[in-house]
Amino acid sequence: MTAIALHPGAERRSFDWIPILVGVLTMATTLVFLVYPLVCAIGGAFVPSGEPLALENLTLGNFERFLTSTSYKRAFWNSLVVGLTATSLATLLALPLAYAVARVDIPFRRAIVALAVLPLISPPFIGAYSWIILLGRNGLITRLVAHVFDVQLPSIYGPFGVITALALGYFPYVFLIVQGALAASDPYVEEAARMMGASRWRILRTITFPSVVPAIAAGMLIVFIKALGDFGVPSILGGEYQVLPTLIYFQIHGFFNLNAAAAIAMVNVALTVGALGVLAWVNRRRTFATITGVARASRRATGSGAKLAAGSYVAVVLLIALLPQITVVVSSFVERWSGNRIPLIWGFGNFARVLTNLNQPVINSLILGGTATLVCVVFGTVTAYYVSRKRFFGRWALDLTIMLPFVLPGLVVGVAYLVGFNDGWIVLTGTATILVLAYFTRRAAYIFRSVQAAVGQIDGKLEEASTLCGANWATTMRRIVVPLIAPAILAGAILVFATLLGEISVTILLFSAKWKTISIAIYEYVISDELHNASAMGTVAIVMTLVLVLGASRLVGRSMSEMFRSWG
Amino acid sequence: MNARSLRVGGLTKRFQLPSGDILAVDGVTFEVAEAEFFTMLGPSGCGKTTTLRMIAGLESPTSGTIVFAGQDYTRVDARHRNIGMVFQSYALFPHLPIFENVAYGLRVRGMAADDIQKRVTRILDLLGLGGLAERHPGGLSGGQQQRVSIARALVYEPGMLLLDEPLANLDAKLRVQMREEIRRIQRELGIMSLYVTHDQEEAMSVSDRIAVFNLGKLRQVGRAEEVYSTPATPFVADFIGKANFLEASPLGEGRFRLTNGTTVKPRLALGLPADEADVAGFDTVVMLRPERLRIDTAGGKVPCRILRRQFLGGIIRYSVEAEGAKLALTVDAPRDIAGTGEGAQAFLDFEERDAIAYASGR
Repeated sequence: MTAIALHPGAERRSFDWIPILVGVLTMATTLVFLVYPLVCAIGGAFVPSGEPLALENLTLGNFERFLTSTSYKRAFWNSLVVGLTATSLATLLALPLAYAVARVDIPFRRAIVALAVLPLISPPFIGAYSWIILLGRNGLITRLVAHVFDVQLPSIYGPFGVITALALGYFPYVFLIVQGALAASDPYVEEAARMMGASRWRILRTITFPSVVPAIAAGMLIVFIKALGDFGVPSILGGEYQVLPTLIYFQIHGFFNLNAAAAIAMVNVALTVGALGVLAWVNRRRTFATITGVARASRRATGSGAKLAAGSYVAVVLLIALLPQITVVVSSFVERWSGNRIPLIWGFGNFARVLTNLNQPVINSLILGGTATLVCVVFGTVTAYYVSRKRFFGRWALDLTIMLPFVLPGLVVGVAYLVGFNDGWIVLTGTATILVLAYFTRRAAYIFRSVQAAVGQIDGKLEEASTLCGANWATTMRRIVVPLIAPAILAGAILVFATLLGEISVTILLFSAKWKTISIAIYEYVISDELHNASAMGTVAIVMTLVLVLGASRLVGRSMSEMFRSWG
Repeated sequence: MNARSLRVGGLTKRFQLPSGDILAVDGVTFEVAEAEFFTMLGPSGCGKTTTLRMIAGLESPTSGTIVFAGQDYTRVDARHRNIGMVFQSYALFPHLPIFENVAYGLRVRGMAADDIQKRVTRILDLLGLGGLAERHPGGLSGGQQQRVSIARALVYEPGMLLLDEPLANLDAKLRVQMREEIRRIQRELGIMSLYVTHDQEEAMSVSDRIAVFNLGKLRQVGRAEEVYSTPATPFVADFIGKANFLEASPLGEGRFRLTNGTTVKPRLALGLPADEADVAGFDTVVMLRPERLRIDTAGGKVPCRILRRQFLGGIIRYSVEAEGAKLALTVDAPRDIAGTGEGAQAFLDFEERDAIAYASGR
């Protein structure tokens, strides 16, 4: 038999330079856009305002204010209180919900899980100002109650409003993670306990609950970190009640005191790191692996009493949690709301006004979000592929890039970028580039994780088979690997883009007049009390993110809830 | 060996792991002739798959050479070797239909579309996959996926075909059927094939020659009959078929004394010094195949007690404890013998020409 002429003469194996390039690129990116600004910010925190970073200027003065200044002390304790209570409230809401959905045979379970993701998709500050529409001084419910019962409701502004809005905005993290763990846990273990004569309550207490403690802890940690770093909600609902992020914003916006802001940011991060430590401790004390990978789903209660109770609870929680989104959409169609209970004039006037006069923020958001998404896709895909397939020496840098933005609140990244890129080697403040880069550091992990999971699903032998068929690296990538991970890339990209549309905590520090985004526009409307315009803009953002995320979930054949669950 | 043969010389692969180095393949040397079906056999971790992957170009050898058809392949990139490979997991491209999976190697070579059509159709027909061209791999049975994988590896007429445990994921019946089919196609195309398996029956049934690996070293190469009847080491004897070992001490002149005092003169003594004077003091074993042992109630070379008797249809399998030898032996007898129930006392007997003595190294 005659061999088909392939390559005349055997060619030498070429030097494999790609892993080295990827390693160098990853490290350079991490050093310049993450480590450098962070080091600048840390350094800045130990230098008095306006002084250059030098040995003789080092001082603890910026931290001293946490002992001397009333507003600093208050902000610190408020942050801690808000973080802990919002996390507890979110957990109290989420645990029964998770149990009801995972273990009671209630109808529409898939729809419920999908709906529960909605608060995560639309930024919580959009929810925050809808509480003003409902419960503010002139709010719908406030007025209704005042009219019917002649009672003045307590103010929504302050800790009560902040905690409620944060808990309702972030509880789905606990819900999704715990529900996933409950649904996946081995049913035979509980059956074994029942065979040994344990009561239902005893099983719940001694078997079921301990087995999901790590999941609960992980969910609570995410809520705590998110609540601690949230800027939008306390700045809208906080009023005089300051927390660390609003204090940072105040230092920068009021005094442009970057050094003070950096010090506060460090304290904020210290709290987050402390929470991570607690999680690690909880998980170390309970090290049990799931012993079996049982394909069988866990049992669900089918009694009508249990179904009714669980169903009602789920309905009530979901209604309250989604009330902000519903309110925003409804109120965006209200043109005038003079006087009484019912809105008087309905129409598209808000949209017309917002979109004709202020279409620039929408365009800006699309440009900034789109560019940042593109950068994330390239970086995230290449690194995820190489982490899964090859060993390369920049591993630590990559882990840092993936983990750090998760720990750092957006406002902290914002401060670091302000400090790092305001003067010195690279000056970027006020440009679109700084926003794109900040978005990139905050979101690259989404693509990375999505693609890493997808590459993990692909048998490495596929690439070997392609090579043995005679294909070079580029052909193997183009014809085998990329088609197989394309859905994961696209889904990750859509999630990045969608969540960037509502990004406020980084944007608020780094935007310039020319590069105002949708979220900033909404924020400014809310601050200047133009709630209907804010609602119109908010509806645009909610609808855009919803459409995008639904599209993403359809593409990968995974539900939105699974995508969010994997972030924990 | 002829001009189109494969010569592997001193092939060595050292893996560097954080926990220390592992010598996965240790100085392996062999030659495979054109159109030969050559099987690398051994337990898992013996280095057979690593050897195959080095021949494929998927691993680079630490040292040693791979020469195919007179050309040094040692440092040639895998994609330039013109080798077909069948993986245990099949490694079919899940997003491409069967036709495109098979056509892949031809498209990479830039072949004209109608030539591709012709070749792919021909190879699919050869493997009985004619009607499946438009289907995707996910919709195929394990056996069908395996055929596609073979078709994909053969369609560009590679210089050799490598098969890495290709039947391991199939059920027992299909395994037997597929191995016959692989052998048929290999003969029909006359392609040199290197086959990796840990299943000695599979190896013996299809191979021209078998290479037995253990702990990274090549222990023996030969036809199935040779390897079975004259295993080079106790390991090979035990791995290929069943083997019984009786402890013995060398007496010189090819004679050995068993622990019960019986003296035997086996057909061969392997691993012992050539000089008779140095033989004394060596620990040795005498190896006997179960079907070469006889059980006799009247008398024989070694007295024994029957521990277990299993009726298996064609044969009756006895587990016995030879007195003094303190070993569990297996005896395959063609028919029942009166007075050989469990617990009975009997004798083992054998022909001296069926025994082989080894330096036991224990």
